[in-house]
Amino acid sequence: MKVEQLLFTPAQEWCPHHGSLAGVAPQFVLVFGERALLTAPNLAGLRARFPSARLVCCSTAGEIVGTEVHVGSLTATAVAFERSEVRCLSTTIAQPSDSRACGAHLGRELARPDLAHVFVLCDGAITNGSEFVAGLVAHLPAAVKVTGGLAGDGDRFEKTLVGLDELPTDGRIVALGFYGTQLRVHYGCEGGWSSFGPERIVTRSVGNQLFELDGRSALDLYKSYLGDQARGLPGTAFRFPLSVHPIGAAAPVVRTILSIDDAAPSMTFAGDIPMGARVRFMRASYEDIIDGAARAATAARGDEPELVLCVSCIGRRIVLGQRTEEETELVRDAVGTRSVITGFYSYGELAPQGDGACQLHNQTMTITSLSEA
Amino acid sequence: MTPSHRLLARQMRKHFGDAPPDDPRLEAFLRAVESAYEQSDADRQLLDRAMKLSSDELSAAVESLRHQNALEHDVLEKLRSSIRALGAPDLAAAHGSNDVLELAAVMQQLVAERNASKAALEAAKEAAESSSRAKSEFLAVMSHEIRTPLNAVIGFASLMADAPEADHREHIDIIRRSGEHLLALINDILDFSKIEAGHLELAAAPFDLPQLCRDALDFVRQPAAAKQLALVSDGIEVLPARIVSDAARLRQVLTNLLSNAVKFTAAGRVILRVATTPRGAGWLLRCEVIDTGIGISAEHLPRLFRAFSQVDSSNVRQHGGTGLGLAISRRLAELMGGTLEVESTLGAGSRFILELPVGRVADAAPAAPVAAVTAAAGVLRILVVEDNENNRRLMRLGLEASGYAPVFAHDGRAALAALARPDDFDVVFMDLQMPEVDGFGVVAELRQTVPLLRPPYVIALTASVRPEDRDRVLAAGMHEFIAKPAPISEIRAALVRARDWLAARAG
Repeated sequence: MKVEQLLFTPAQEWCPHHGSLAGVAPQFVLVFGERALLTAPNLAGLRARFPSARLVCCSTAGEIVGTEVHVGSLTATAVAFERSEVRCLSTTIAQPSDSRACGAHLGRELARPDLAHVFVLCDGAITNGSEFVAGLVAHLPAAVKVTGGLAGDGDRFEKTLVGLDELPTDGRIVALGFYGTQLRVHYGCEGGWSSFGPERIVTRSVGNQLFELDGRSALDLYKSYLGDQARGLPGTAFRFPLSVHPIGAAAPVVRTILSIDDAAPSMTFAGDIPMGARVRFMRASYEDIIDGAARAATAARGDEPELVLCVSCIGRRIVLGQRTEEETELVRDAVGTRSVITGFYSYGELAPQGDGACQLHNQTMTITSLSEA
Repeated sequence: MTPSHRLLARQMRKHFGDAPPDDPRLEAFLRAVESAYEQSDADRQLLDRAMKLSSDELSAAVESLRHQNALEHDVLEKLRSSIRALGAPDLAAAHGSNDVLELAAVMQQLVAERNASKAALEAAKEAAESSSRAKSEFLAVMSHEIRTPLNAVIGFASLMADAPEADHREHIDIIRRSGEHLLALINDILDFSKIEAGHLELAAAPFDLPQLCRDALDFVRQPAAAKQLALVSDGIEVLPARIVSDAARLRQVLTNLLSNAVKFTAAGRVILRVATTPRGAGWLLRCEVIDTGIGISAEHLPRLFRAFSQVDSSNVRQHGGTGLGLAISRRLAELMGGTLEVESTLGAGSRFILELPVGRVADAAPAAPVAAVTAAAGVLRILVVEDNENNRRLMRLGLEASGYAPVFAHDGRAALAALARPDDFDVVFMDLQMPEVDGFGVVAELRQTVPLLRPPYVIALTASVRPEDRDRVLAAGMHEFIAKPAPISEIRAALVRARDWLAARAG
C-alpha cells in the first residue's frame, strides 16, 4: 500500500507534501478542501497527475494535513492498494427524507462477502445522517463497519460539495467500499464532552428542529446561557452541544447546533431531536476535547497504519481556536511518524457508537486507519 | 502595537518599557497571544456564567422538590388523620407508611366500606320507618277493633239498666260475645309479641290427633252452618291415634286457618284434609285447609304472612279479626320446625298447607284429655282468695253452678286466717296481686307448715301472663297457673286436674 499527500494553495498550485507512491498508479485520490477552491481548473491539475484514479472530492470546514490544520486550501491523498480492492459509488440526495433510501441503495450496491469496510462522504446540508446510516448498514454484512463524515462549508453553513470523478456538487453522497482479506481497518470515535446542569425534556420538536424544552423556548435558554456571546450564534452554541437521550435508546448521542431561527424561535441541530427525549447541556475544557482526540487515535492506531483518515467536528475547531492543532499532534503521537494523516473538519461524523450500530455523531474526533498486511 | 488586553499590556510595559522593539514578527506574535488571552477569558466567563445559571436552575429544582416534599408530607398527614378519623384500627400498620399510593388505597377502601355501611344503615332506617308506619296503621285498626266491642259492651249494659228483664238474655249474649272477641284480640297481640320477642316455649306431649282435628272443625261448625257452607274433612280416620307435639299450638293454627276459610268464603265449601307420612323417627303431618272463597291476588300473596300488614285494611273492617292470625300461625309453624304456605287464585279460593314434623308416642300411656272436661262436683272443698268483689261474685256463681260450695277470703290476711287449718281445704284459688299480703306472701306462709306434695292444691289466678310470671308462681310453691280472664270451662278443667292430683296423693 502506497500513499502520497499533496497540497494546493492559490499561491502554490499542487505540490507533494508527504509520502510517495513510488511510481505505482493509485486507485483513488481523496481531495478535502475549501468549497471555493474545488473548481474545474484546480482539479484539472490533479487529474493530469493521476489519470486513472477515482477522484473523490469533499468540501470542508478545515483540512487536516499531518499535524497541521489548514483553512482555505486543498489537500489530496492518493492511495495505491497492493493487495486490496476499492469500489467507489455515488448517489444523489434531493431532500432529507430520501436519506434512508440513499443509504439502502448504496448498501445494496456495496454488499459483497469480501467487503471489509465502508467510508462515506455525504452532502452535509441535506443529508439526515442518522437515517442515511441506518439505511446503509441494513444492507451490509453485520461485521462490516461504516465510518466517514458530512461535508463542511467553513463556518458558513450554506452548501457543501461532494463529487466522484466530477466537479463536486451539493446533494451528492460518495461511498468507498474496501474489499479483501489483507486490509487492516481500525477506528475510534471520541468527544470528551460531559453533561452538566438539569435534565430537560423535549416538549416540541420537528425532525432536527427544536422549539421547546420543558415547555420553554430552547433558543431563549441558549441565549441566557451564552449571555454576551449570544451575538455570535449559531457558532457560539458549539460551546454547549446537547446530550440527547431519545426514549428507548440505549445511550445518549451528542448533537451540535447548525443554525437558529429567531422568528420561530427554533434551533436546527445536526441530527434529529425526538419529542420526549431527555437532554442536557454539555461542556468541555480544552484538555477534555484534546484528550478525546488522543483516545480516538489510540483506539484506531492498530500497528503503524499507512493511512489515517481524521474526521473532526467543526465545533471542536471553533472551541479550540489556536489550540486546534493540539488534537492533531496527539493523533500523530498515537499513530507514529510513518502514517500519512489526512482528513477534515466536518458537519457530522459517522462511526459505530461504542460496539453498537453505526450512528451520526457531533463534536467528536472520528479516526479510521488503513494498512495492508 | 499597544495590546488592549490589560494583562498583555502590563506584561509589555514590564518587559519593554514605553518603547517596545519595532519588529513585525513580534507584532504578529503579540496578536496571536492577545487572541489566545481573549478567547481564554471569554471561555472562562462563558463557563462561569453557565455554571452559575446551572447552579441557579438546580437550586430552583431543589427548592421545588423541597416544596413538593413538604406538600407530600402534608398530604400524607391528612391521609393518615383521615384514616384515623374513619376509625380503622386494623389498618394501623398503614398509618406509618410514607407511600401516598398505599395510604390512598387504604383511604379508598375505608370510604367504600363507609359508603356500604351508610347504604345498609339507610336500608335499615327505611325498613324501620316502614315497620313503624305499619305498626301505626295496625294500632289504628286495633283501636277501631277494640272500640267496636267495647261500644257494644257499654251500650248494651246501659240498655240493660233501662230495659225490661225479658230482653236481658239477648243483651247479655251480645256483651259476652263482645268480651270474648276482646279477649281474642288481646291474646293474639300477646301471642304475637311473645313470638317476636322469642319468649314462646313449646310443649312436647302426647295427645289425640284425630280428636284435635274434630275439635278444630267443631270450632267453626256453627259459623259455617250459618253461611250454609259445606264443612268437609278428609283423612282424619286414618291418622295415627296419638302423636307428640304442642297440641295447643297446633289447635291454634288449625282453628285460625279454618276460621279464615269460613270467614272469607261466601258460598261453597271448606275442606280440612289431613295426612301423615313417616319421616325419621316420627311423622310429617300435612294439613290442608281448602276453601272456595274470595282468594288472594298474586300481588298480595307475599304480604299475607307479614305482621301488621293487612292485605287490605278495609277487609279487616268487613271481616273482623286482628290481621295477626296468619302471621302468628306461620311463626308457630316455623317454631315447631314446619312450614305454612299458601296457594291461591283471586276469586277462585285458597289452599293453605301446614306441614309439621311430629313425634311418635313410644309407650301406651293414656293421653291427657284434650277436651270434654266434666265437672267433678261435691267432694272438693275450695278456698277462693280474691280481693275484687266482682271477681269473687263471678267465681261464686260459676263454682256454685258447677255444684261446689267455695269459701272466700277477701285479702291475704283473711286467707292466712282461713289456712290456719290447711286440712280444711282441698283446692285454693289464689289471686296474686293484693294489698298488704299478696298471693306469694300467703303461699310462702303456707309452705312453712305444708309441703308442696301435700294438699291443698293451689291454683294461681292472675292477670299477669308473662312466662316469667308463670315460672315465679311455680317456684313459689303453687301447683298451676290460670290467666285472667278465665272462662268457667277452664276453671272446671283445673278442678279436674286438682281432683286427679289429690286422688294420686290419697292413693
